[in-house]
Amino acid sequence: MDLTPADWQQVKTLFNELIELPAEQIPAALAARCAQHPHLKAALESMVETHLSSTDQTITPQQSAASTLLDQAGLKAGDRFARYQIIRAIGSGGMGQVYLAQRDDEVVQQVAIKVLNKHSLDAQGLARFDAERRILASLEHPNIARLIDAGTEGDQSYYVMEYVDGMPIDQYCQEHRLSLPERLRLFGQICQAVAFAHSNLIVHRDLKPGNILVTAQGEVKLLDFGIAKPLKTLPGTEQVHETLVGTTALTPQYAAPEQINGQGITVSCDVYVLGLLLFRLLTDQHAFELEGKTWGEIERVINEQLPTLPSRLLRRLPAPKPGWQHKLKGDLDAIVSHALKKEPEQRYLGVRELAADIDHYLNNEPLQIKQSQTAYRLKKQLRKHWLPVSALTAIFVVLAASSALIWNQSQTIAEERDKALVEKQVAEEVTTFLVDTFKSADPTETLGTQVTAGDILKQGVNQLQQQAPSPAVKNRLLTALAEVYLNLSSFDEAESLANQVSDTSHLNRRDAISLVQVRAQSMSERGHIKPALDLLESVVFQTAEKDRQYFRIMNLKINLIRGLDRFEEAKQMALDLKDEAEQLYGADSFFYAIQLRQYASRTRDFENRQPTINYYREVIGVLESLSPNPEPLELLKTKRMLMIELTGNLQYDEALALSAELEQDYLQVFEPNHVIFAKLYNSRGFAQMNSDRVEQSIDSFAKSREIYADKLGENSTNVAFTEINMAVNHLYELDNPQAAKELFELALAKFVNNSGKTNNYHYMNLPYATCLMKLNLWAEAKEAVMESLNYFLHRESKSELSIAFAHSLLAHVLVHEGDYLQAHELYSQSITRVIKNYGDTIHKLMIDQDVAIIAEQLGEAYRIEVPDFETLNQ
Amino acid sequence: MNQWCVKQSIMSEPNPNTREIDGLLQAWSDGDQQVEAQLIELMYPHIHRIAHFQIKSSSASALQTTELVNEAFIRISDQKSVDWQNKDHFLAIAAKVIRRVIVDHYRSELSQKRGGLEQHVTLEKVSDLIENAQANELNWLELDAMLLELSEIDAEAARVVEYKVFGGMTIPEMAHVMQVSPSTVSRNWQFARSWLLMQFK
Repeated sequence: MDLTPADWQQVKTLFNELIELPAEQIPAALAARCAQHPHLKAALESMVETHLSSTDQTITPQQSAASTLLDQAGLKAGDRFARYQIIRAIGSGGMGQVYLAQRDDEVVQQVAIKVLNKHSLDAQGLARFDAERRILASLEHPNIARLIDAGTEGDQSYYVMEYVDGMPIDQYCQEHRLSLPERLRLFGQICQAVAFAHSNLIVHRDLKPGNILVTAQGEVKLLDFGIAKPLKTLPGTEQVHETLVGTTALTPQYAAPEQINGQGITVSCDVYVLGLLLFRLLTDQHAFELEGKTWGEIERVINEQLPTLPSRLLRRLPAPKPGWQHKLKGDLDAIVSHALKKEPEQRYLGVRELAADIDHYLNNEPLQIKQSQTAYRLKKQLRKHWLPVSALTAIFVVLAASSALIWNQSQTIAEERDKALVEKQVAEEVTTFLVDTFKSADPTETLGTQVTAGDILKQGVNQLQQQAPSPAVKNRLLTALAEVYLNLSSFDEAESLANQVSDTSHLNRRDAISLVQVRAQSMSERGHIKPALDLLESVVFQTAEKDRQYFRIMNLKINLIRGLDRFEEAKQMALDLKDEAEQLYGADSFFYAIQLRQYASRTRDFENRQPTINYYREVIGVLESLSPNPEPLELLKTKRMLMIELTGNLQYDEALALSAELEQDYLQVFEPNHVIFAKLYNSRGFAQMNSDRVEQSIDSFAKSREIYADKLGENSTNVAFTEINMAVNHLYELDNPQAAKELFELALAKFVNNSGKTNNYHYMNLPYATCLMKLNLWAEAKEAVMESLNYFLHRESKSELSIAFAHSLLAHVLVHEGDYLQAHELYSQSITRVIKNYGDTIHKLMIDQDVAIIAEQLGEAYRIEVPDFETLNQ
Repeated sequence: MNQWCVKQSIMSEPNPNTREIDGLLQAWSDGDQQVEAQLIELMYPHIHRIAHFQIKSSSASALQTTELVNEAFIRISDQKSVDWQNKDHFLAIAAKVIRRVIVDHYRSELSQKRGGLEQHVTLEKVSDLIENAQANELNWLELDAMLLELSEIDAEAARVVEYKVFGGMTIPEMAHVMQVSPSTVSRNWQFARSWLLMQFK
């Protein structure tokens, strides 16, 4: 039926007329209409048939008018609603209004009517409402306010409940100055009532003092059972605990993390909220201070913050109740903490278990739960400081591996039992050790100062020296700790720990490889590249799995090969590894991101940085989308690399902003004199230098050099880099070539000493030559330029810019020697090379400047026109 | 019982977008169609985030549109600083945003499956879908496509479906936003409902 919109409008009119007729008149009327409009026949018949064959609960205009009226106006004293007469409004909530009312036709009985706000009628909603009402009606318990009636009036649903004249429980306890055991017994009653509801598959979801009243007779009554949820989403009766998802108008002060997060609601939710209530009854305080906080902050607090232990909170109060603190400490603290765990599955299994522990306490019996609290709190606390903790990945790997061993052991066959038992013992000792280490770094034990990865590690190392565990345990731990230090770029510590591993025969294959990796990497960081590569290649890696360790070793190898100027080889390896990672793990994986970064670095081009910048941004995008990010430090590292590229690409403001962001992140993980800050300050100084922030730049370089010298030694390559940077600053910005010369010479000597005359040396040799020229040391300058020009011309991967730069410097020298024609030739070559190959980079500008000077000299000597930049550009 | 009061007292800092959204809603309800895109853009990230939580936390790929609307209103509105005259209009825009969020979500899910088994919608399912927007395993993409088709035939009827299914709006609320009588809304709904069901015969 190909009808036009106009045809459809006609169908619509006819259709709406038809369906409003009494059912028995429809067929005849339909036939008549169809006869009138033959081209609409098919559509109209089909529409009407569809309409009649499907059940329909659409509200009529009359009903919606009634509901609008009720929604807006509310009910006043004396109004009639259903069979009840309203006495007064008691309160209103997100779900509706509550009125005190009485039935006017029978016995005078005061009731509370809750009229639910907005909902649209639909068939299933009504069915559920009925089902729910039946369950609630069956919920007969002395401590639960009874459901008397429920129904719908217009399109408004309502519940009628037993009216309880009482006081919220927290207020009641305070006003009557109840003793601790009295409060606990009241709490026990609440637990029994909630547990009873749970056994009827009803979860309260909105437990809070306002819903738990105590009558004048001292009887507890729970209100509002199961009705805190709008009807539309009330579940079917069978799977109450599975289907309740989401929250609407919850009370944050009495909400569990899963409610805040809109996750599935289970009985655990009530356990948690009862924990909050217990906290309140024990301390008269709220477990969390939420007053004045934004919704976002509330979310964070409820999801992440552990409540202060009740006994500790009491200690802080200005007027604590005498003796209470002592009574709370221990068992009651433990009960509250256990109920208030963030993960539902970690809490008490159910409310009965919670109630049982309260009974145990009152009867001076041992609790069901043991004091596993410290480890739990610690883990939680560590999770909050995601950065420091993420630095400890290696430790967690060991911990996980140890647990796995214990588990595996139970499955090993008899012959291997002895061997396995030894392993098991080692594993258990390792686990205990690590747990102890974390425990002692627990911020609550260390007076709340923020714990850094460094603190935890130091603690670990100390403990290792003091406890003197068996060699097997000790070696495994030393390896793990060394790896962590390596991750944190603390090479001294890493190396020193690695050297303490006395006997590698105890190590499993993974640990043995780790050890080699630690040693090779720390050698490489000190600039001993060849020995590092030799060491790495001396070990045959039979790495079956392409896991984290495999990729790390391969990356280290690539870096070393590149450090030896084997550029093409490094580039090819990087490409292969990237493809491998993509094939194995996909293009949105951690490994792919890291390998893309490696590839981007290897194909990095000083003269055109845009592709690298784009790659790095892609890497950052992938890393940021990982949840959880397995190694957040890699994200920071990528950001730092991006920052360097941005600087190279003249995007200084962006680079400096990124550096400030990074400094803040780093401070969470590293001590302020950590070598990572040296790297950061060096990069920052470079950006400052190039954007005319000379003073700040010198300051940054000096800070950087100080840390490098302290951590890596006066003669390390990294110290050399900062010296080069300072020299460049003196040379170009401060016009002090003498100071620059001294710094250049210090730095170049270090390059030669550490890795021979490789790329770095020659790259830095060129500005050094410039410096010599400014000091009129022409012979030395020429020697330096020739040496490096030769290197760049014969290097396997040509750096056009370096050649151009060298050519322009050589031209300088030639001008000085009076060989103007040769100089002119070199200049033209140099400029052409730059323009042909590169965009608008700082180097081009530098050469441009030189050209201007030379052009002037040439012009004076020969009075010839030197083509300027613009003409060449066309 | 006074849940709103508790929430108000702790929500002292207004959501930075709240006033802007409220202002734009006012303009929109005064007939300025230009601001609609802007409103959708402002609200999209909020609702996307809430929806993300929902999808992550539920076992099936279930979305509860009413929950989404309620959550969005609670989070975006700041009860204290803004007098929400425009709640119905908020719901209407939210419905549009939710539709978009849902369609984006399932579209990306579909493209991830690389054309795996496409679930087929039965008549029963569509009926379920229309009567009860909370039903699991809807083919939202198909509904979206059907709505597009419907809007070419009768834009008003399509809007009613959008408001009801994605925004959980009642007939009086829709009448207010669309500035028509409740019975007109009801007629549009009847028509749209049968038309949609008919597509699956």
